[in-house]
Amino acid sequence: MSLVHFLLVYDLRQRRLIDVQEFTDAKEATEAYGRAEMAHLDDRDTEIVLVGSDSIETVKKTHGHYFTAGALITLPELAAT
Amino acid sequence: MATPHERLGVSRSQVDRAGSVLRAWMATGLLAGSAEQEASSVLSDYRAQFKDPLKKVVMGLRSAVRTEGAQVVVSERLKRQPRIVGKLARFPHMELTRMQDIGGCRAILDDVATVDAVRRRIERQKSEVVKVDDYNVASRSSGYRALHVVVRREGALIEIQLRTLSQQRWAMLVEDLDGAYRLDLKDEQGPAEVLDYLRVYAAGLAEFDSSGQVSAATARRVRAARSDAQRRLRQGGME
Repeated sequence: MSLVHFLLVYDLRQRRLIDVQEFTDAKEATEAYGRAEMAHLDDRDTEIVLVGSDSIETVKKTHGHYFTAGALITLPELAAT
Repeated sequence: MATPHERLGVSRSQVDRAGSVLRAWMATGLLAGSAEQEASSVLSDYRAQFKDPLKKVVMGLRSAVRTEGAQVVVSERLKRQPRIVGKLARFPHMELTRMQDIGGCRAILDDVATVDAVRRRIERQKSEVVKVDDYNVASRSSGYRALHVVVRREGALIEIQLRTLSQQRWAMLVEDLDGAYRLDLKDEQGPAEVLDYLRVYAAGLAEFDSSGQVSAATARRVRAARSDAQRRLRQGGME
């Protein structure tokens, strides 16, 4: 089972991912993470995160908020059963 | 087994000093200078030392989930620098080298029974269990529920989060709201009505998780809290 690392760059103003880089080498991924964060050190409008998983589909389940479109958030209700 | 700072070849106090520099910088709101860039670089190198132990813990977690017959929905992450610095700012006495969730992984599971079963498997694995926080038994004041296990692997502390599908849905909602309205509900900062709705909604989800049902009274409470929260979000020009 080999894990893939995804370096996600999320723009909080546009509320969407603006870059996704995929790495099969964890060391390279970690170094790129540090570099990207350093480049955005003063930038409060961008979230950068490195997530490792078996596929991007799994990342969508475990870190789904990076993949939701910029639609307005509807607060869910709970229906009585 | 060498600790992360030892593997990096620096002293504990060098790492903690970098944390202090970044914590102080955050309070100023100023642009980063050379001292902050240097501290950020130390933090980044220190965090990278969690990569290998995290990988091993993740392999153990995947195996525990698979052996339990559950679908493997597992990810890992190294904590984002702004979250690390934010946590240092919230806990002024916390030292960077004491932080327990720099390396973390998460499994999404069907229900609380599977969460408990996976936890028991983790406790029998090679990593030393340092701490278990069962927020299913006692939720956080925000309403957050999950099971957190902190383990020590190769000298590094790694956090494992086990969440049910409902708990994950709730946590994603919090993240969505934080992103959409630029709030910090995750750390319980934000309009009281929204925080209250999140608490009530989380309790309703927990009721569903434990009994497979939602009572009419609970549904009413969620609806009332939701309408207050929506009103508050609109008033703030946030919706």
